[in-house]
Amino acid sequence: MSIRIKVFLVLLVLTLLPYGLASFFIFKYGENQLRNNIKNQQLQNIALIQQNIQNYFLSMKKNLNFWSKAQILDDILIGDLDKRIQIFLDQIKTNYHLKGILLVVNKEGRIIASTKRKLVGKSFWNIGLSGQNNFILTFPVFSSFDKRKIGEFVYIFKPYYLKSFLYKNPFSGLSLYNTKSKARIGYIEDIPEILLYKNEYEDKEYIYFSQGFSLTDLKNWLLISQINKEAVFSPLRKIQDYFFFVFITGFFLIVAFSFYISEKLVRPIKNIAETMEYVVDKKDYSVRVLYSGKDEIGILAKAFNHMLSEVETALKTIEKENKRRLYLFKNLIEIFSRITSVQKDTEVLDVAVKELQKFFKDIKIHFSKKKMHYSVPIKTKSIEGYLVFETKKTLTKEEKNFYTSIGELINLLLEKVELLTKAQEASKAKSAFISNMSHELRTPLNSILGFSQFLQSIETDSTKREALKSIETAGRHLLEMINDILDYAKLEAGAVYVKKERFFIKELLDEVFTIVKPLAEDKNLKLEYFYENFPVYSDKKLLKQILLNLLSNGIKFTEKGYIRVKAWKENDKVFFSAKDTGIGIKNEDIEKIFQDFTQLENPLQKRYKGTGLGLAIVKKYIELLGGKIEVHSQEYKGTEFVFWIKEN
Amino acid sequence: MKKVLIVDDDKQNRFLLRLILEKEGFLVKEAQTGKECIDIMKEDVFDLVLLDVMMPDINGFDVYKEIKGKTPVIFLTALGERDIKERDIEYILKPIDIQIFVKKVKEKVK
Repeated sequence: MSIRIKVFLVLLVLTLLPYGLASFFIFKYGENQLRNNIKNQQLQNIALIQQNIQNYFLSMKKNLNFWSKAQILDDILIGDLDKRIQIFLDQIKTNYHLKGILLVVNKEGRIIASTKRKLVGKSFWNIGLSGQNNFILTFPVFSSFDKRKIGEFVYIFKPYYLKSFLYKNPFSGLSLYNTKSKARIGYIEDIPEILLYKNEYEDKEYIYFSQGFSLTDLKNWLLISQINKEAVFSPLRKIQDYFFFVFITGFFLIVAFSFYISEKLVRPIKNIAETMEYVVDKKDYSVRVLYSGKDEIGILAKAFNHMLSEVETALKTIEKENKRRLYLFKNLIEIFSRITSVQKDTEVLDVAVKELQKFFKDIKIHFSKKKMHYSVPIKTKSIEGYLVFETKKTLTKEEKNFYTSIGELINLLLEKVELLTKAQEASKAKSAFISNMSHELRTPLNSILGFSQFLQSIETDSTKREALKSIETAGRHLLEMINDILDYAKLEAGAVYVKKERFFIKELLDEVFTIVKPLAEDKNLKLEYFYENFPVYSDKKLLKQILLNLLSNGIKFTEKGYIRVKAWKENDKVFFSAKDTGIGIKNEDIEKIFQDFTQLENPLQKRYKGTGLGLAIVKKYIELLGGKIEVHSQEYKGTEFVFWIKEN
Repeated sequence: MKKVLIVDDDKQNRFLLRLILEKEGFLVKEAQTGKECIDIMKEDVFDLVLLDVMMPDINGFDVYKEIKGKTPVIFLTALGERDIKERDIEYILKPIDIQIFVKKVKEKVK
């Protein structure tokens, strides 16, 4: 659960929940109180109205009783001949504002006088006024002479006239209800039947109270009061609405407030967390949390930033130290690799220690036979001892490792020097042997070739001269092969060293052409060359050898046409091309032509005169000069060799 | 007549060179070793010394140090061109081409 929701819930529980509960109970209580008040008030009202009605009845009865004792009523006996009773009744009705009908009935039940004229003379029992609803109040009339009952004094009035006692206002209404006839008078539209049995009832809209009368005249009647709940409780509802409004407003305020609080709280924490994640993910310790608050989060952010900067500084220090060491190592290795020009391993060790000392100011480095301070064993065939690192401070594990690897480096260096010395010695021996061999092989050939030439120059017999020429040719062929083999042997022995010099391309090509030209002319081949004179920095002798080999090869395999040489320069590369119009090379053989004599059994090689080593030597020479050779050829059309060498 | 000293430990070579040079009208003298060459040079003066490099006792280059300046010298050697290239000397490689050899000798002697 996020902090935002937690804050929201806490605030809700702390504020709105009590508020809601309190207001709920207050309303319940208030409603009860109000209801009780209303009820009491209503009951009082009813009582009062009942009282009024009953008082009305009582006073009416008192009056009627009084009027029934009037002497004038003796006229009943004469049937109100003089209409005196009639006048008496009319006067009462007028004076007392009676709405009902006043009657005087004789002993036989005949109506003597009435405020309603048409009833006079009729039988009281037949007029139908004694209908269910009408109130009929009767009082006996006695003769003033003999106190004999001579008739009845009657007042009839409709219950309707009681309506004036009832009222209606926005809150409540009153009605009279006759339990027998179900007649009703008053302001209540629907009177629930249940009120016949209960004196309190409540439905959705109203509260009802019913109350019977104690007076016998009203025994069938109930006074019913109806209270409009909505009207009565409307102030409460209004307050309730107000409370609800406050609740809703509070709710939204709390939502907003918790959002704000959590935003205020969570944002910086989130920010810190995200920064942490970023740091862990990207290993970038240069970022900082941006939070300037002075609260606990601010302290956290500050502490975090502090930690970051500490880590960053530490890392930077480590990186710097690593770089320094790398730099040291690089320099050491460079120096060490230069030291290999020193031939003896004891000297190498001396120079190495001296060079090391230059790098380490705070530490004394020397070689010792004994183990002391921090020392790394040094061991070769002729040297055994320790490289001592003398310092006052205690060395850390890393420093020890570092010094150990320096020691190992020196060991390696010494080993390398040893191997190099051995290799050089071996190479020198081979080289010397080959030089010797070449000398020894050429010396007798010198005689063979020399004498055959000399004899040709003095011999007059053409057959003998031809034979001598054959000896010379065979001898030259043998010489070529010896030269090839010796060159190759030298290459294999690693005894061919590149000796670069500055010269112009013309010098090189002139030297080559001087040798090749007679050969080409012998076969009637054109020798063409295209070049602009430019300076070259390379091994002239090797280049000469390469070109001679290629060109003499070309001449050897070309019967007619031309041999064309080109030379040009592109950046730091010098290009040469040697093209002939000779027999060409079969496609499947092209790859084999540069292979050396280990491939002598190849059928291709057998077509060649000679060792077949020429091109293999050429290729190796070119590689020695840092270059490459390619061949393009079409069978029976010609061959082109293109190669380049690097000047540096 | 120009005088040429041939210094070579190989008998056949000396003989060949003598034949060629005498045919060309030179006066030829031979030395079999370096030491002999130095000794002869002490008593005699030559127009040209043809000096072999690889010899049993004193090699051609050491001989050259002794006699340098006295007489023009052409080295004759069966060593590869690359072995003697860097030295500032005049040389003819064995096996010789008679025409070239004669041409060079004549040029040097002039």
